[in-house]
Amino acid sequence: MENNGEPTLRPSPDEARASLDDVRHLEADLADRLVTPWWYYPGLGLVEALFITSMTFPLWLQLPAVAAGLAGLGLLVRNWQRLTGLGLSTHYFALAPGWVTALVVVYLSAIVVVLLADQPVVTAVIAAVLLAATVVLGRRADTAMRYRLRHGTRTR
Amino acid sequence: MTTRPEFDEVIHAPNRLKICALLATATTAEFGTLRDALGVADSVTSKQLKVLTEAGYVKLSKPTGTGGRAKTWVTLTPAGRRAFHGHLAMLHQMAADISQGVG
Repeated sequence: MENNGEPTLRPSPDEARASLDDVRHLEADLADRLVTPWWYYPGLGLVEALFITSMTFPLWLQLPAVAAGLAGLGLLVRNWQRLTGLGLSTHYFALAPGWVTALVVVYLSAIVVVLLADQPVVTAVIAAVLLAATVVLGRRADTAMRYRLRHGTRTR
Repeated sequence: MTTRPEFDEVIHAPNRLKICALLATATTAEFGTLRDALGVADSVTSKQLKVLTEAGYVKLSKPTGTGGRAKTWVTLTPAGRRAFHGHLAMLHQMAADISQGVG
């Protein structure tokens, strides 16, 4: 029976378990809603590739490139939120820590390689690898996150 | 960080518990998304959000400037997050009581 805000009596253990079940079902429902559009990770990969490539640009071109990357990032996030009706929360990261860590490691490694090599060809190759890695690892992270939500993150 | 189990009357009502559970993960959600997740009418969702807003557990905002009709977004506050985790810990404790009793 729905309680529409009236004072609630302290629940029995059975009712507590039913409430935990409600939370579990809600999280499973959230997993179904968190479907990342196909363009999100390719877009994110392109932005990351632009950031990496911009490190080798002449100084006068670096700022516009970073600004364009940030604008692209804003566009991606805004459209993701508009389509899912959900915020792009950092709490999602905790649901797939391994894949998110892998993404960060790949990105930081790419920065180091580009700085050390300082060669346009190497930068182009690294940018392409980063784009591909973002698509692959990002989609893996999504799958892992949805699995965690479907199988309960707080109710075991 | 450990959460102190604490029963919260405001959060315990089924629809408000579901709203907090969704926002505990997503942090922010659009009004229509919450309504659909609860499977209730706009008026019921509004009523539950009003209670949570008055308790300081959620904040409502209506961003404008992107054209079209402005939508209402709901965000869980830090106080709301603490209360939800405390309440959840209490539910776990209560549920464990019955498990021990049965076994």
